[in-house]
Amino acid sequence: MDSENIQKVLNGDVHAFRYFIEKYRDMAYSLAISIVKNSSVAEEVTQDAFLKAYDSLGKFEQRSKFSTWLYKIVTNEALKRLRKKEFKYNKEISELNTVDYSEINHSITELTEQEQKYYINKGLDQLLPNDSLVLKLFYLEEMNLKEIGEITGFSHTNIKTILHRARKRFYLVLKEELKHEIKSLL
Amino acid sequence: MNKDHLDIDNLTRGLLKKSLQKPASSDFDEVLMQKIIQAPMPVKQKSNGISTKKAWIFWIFTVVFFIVSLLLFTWILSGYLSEVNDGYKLTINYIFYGGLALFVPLVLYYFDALVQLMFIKKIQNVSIT
Repeated sequence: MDSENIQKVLNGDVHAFRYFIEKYRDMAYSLAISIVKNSSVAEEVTQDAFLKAYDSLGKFEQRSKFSTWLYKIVTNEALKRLRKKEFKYNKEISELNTVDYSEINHSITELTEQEQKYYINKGLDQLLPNDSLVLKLFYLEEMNLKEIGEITGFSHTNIKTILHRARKRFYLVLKEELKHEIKSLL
Repeated sequence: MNKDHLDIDNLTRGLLKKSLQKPASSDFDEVLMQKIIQAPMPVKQKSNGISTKKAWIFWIFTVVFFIVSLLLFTWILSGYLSEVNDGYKLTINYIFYGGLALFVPLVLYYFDALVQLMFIKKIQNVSIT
C-alpha cells in the first residue's frame, strides 16, 4: 500500500500523500515529543518532517520501509531543534532503587485508561530524549534492533544498553508518580 | 530469555502501547496538506549507480577474460619453450611465475574495487540526507 501511494504521489497525485499523514502522524508526533518534550514544538517538527519526506520522496529508493525512512527524518528534525540544549532530569531518582514490577502493574491497572495514558506519558517525559525514543521504537512501534539502529545511528549493543537503562528508569519514575497519586487521593 | 524478563517485556509493551499521542491541533492534517499542495512536486530521481545486473555481467566477463588470457598465454609460452634449451626455459619460467605473482594481487585489488563499486554505491543510495 505504501509503495502504491508513493507512485501515485510521484505521478502527480498530491492528495495521495494524505494516506501517509493519516497512517504515520501519531507515531511521528509521539517520537518528536519524546525528543523535544514540548507539544507545540513536536507539532512543528512533525509537519517539517512530513514536508521534507514529501520533498525527498523521489530520492526514496524503497530499500527500507517507508516508516523507518520517515521516522529517521522525524528524529533528525527533532534533534536539530534540540540543538545543544542539554536535557537534565527534573528529579533525581536513584537508579539503585529496586523496581517491583508487579506492584506498579497492580497500581496502574487501578486507574482509568485516560489516567494510565497520562502517567505513562508523564513517566516517558522525564526520560532522556534518546531513552524515550528507543523505548517507543522498540515497544510501541515494535521495531527490531536493526531498524532502530537505522533511525538513531546507534549500535546494537548501545541500543540494548539504552533499553535496559530506560526501562528501569521509566518504572522508577512511574513508581514515584503513582506514589504521589495515591497520596493525593488519601 | 527467562520468564521474568519476558513478563517485564510484555508489561512494558502493554504500557507503552498506551503512550501513543496525537497532535493537539484539530486542523493539523489540513494545515499540513495545504503546505504539501503549495510545495514543489517531488522529482523522481534516477539512480547514479551501476545497475546490479549490469555489474554482474561485467564481473563475469572480467573473470572469463582473465582465465582465457591466462590459458592463451600459457599455451603460447609452452609452444615457444619446447624449442629453446633448458636454461633459457627456466629463466622464462621465473619471469612468467614472477609476473603472475605480481599480477594476482593486482587483479584481486581490481575485483575489490569492482565489488565496492557494486555494493557500496547501493549502501550510499539508502542515505536520506
